[in-house]
Amino acid sequence: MKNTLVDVKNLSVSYFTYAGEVQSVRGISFSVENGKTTALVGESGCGKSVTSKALMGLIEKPGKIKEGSSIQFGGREVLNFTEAEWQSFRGQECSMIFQDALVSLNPTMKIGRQIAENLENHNDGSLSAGQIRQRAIEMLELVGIPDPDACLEKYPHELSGGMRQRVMIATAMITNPSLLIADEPTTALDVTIQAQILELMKDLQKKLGMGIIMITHDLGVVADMADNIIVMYAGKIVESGKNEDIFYDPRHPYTWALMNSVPRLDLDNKEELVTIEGTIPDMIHPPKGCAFCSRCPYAMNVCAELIPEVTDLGDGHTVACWLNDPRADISGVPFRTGGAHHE
Amino acid sequence: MLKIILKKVAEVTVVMLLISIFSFAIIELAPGDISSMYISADMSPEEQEMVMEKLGLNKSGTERYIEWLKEAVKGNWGYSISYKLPVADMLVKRLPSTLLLMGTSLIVSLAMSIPLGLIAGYKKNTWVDNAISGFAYFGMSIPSFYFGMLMIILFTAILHWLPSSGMHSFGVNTPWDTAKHMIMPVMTMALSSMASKVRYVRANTIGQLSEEYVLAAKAKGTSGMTILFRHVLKNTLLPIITIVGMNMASMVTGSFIIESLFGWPGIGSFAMEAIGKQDYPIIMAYIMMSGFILVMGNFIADILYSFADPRIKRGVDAANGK
Repeated sequence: MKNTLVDVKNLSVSYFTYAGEVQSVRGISFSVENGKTTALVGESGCGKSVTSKALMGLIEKPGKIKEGSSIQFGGREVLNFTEAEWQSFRGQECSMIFQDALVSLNPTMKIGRQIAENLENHNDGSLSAGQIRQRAIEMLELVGIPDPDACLEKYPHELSGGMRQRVMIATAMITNPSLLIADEPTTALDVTIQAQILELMKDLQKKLGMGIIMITHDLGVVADMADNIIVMYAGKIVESGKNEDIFYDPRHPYTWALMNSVPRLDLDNKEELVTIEGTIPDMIHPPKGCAFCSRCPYAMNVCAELIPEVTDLGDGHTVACWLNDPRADISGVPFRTGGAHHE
Repeated sequence: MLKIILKKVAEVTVVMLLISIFSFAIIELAPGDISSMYISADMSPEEQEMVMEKLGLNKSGTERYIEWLKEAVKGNWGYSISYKLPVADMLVKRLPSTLLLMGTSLIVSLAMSIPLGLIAGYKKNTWVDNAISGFAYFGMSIPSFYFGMLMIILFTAILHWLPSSGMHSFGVNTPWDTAKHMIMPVMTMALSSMASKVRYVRANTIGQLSEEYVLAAKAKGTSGMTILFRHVLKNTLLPIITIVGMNMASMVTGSFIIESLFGWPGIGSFAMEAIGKQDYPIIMAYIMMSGFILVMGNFIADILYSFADPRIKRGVDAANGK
């Protein structure tokens, strides 16, 4: 791929706790293209946030990126960065926004200072304080904050949730980074504001052309926005592909389950919300076969014994599931319907 | 704001009244009184009664309390029974030396504990943290009179570097001379009050460093030390304001132990002497003053807090219908 911005190869991250080694991310590989949106989807604890922190060099003790992992950013191996290189990388080339903007903003510092800080950190002396302030105002205008001048002088608690997330986005984008990592940026917001923030991010991408890694547990959030979708489960990528492939031709039972658990307005409202039974496996002792096996309604004997190979279905669509093996008995497996309402 | 102040005044009045009743009662309940200084066994009962009347001790405790209260409300703190001088004048005369000693030790202890606590929290569980925390434990555990005596033994008796007692050398009155006299009492005071502050700041720093905004600042490429001093420091200091507010009382009342140990001519050692003599007008004035300043210190801390923390300021403004 000629337009690759980030290329992650065999990334493994473990947390060394008293209970043992928690294998949060177990050898994942994916890439992000310039100016495109890639969504990392999965439930809590699947390793999606850890992956994003690894990209930013924010894995802290007792976490450790294991030998053999590689993250190429614009052709450079970021895992070999020194602390100084990381500092100039963070915020400048790759910015990050977080789930809860209220706790991600320093409560005792004015908004203006917090936005400007990012640019100040990466200012080589060419910008004056006044110019930085001007940039901050421009960014606030860009993210749709009315009266940006007054906003600079406010404290985080004086803004609404949606406004705070806009401020976070303005802060992240003020340096014009080539990648924006958004870690559940809309989870803490109510639905109408969610839609506005997603719209804003799409809009900014059109104007500024940054790549986005969108981390979410909600497939509904990324349906309209992501170019590529990566579905993660228990530290591994179970399925990845283009947006259309994932939505119209999902091949992994976990992807089906995720889709079915998105609340739908077009169905009878008496119908119960579909949940995925069971919990994710213990990541200190990951199962030797497929991690989803214990929760999978279509599990076969082989699933408990061997980790499924990643199968390339063509056009960048990959899946790791034994059901896609030619030897599997797939009669009764609802490939066509995507697993919906198979009962 | 007016409503808050009125409410505060009412509260303070009740608290002060209760303090005065209880402390007067305690002085009354203590065995003996100051008359033992003036009465000897070979005096006739009439002479004894005369002395008692002169001292005002022939009346009951309740009567004397009410008399005292009537005058105290007018701002008259009465005469010391032992010195026969106005209590207020005597206290005011000793105030500057106490303020000097206590203010300096407060500043020294803050100036040392804040950076030490921050660094200990930042370097949590490393040898740096262990050294600082160990030092804090030491300061907390060692009684200040004992540490003071050790200092006197070392710096006065063995090394002959510093004077052991008083505020001035005889006949000398230079700032440098006073400073030399202050070193040991200030260090002794600062050590004990520093210890708890270091532990406070350390715990707060650790808490603040795990906050999401620290991660967000890191994601902007801010360096660890900048995060510590630009972001974490202010949030860490908020609870310290409360502690300093409570320490304010001791700024004026001084310290019984340190002032007595180093012969510092301040309010603490003066009150200590008055307690020995059961000179109740001095004791009462002293207690009322410390009580008042303690209550006011907390009030001032509340106000300072609202300046430092914008979230609380809004709460206060909202309560006033702004």
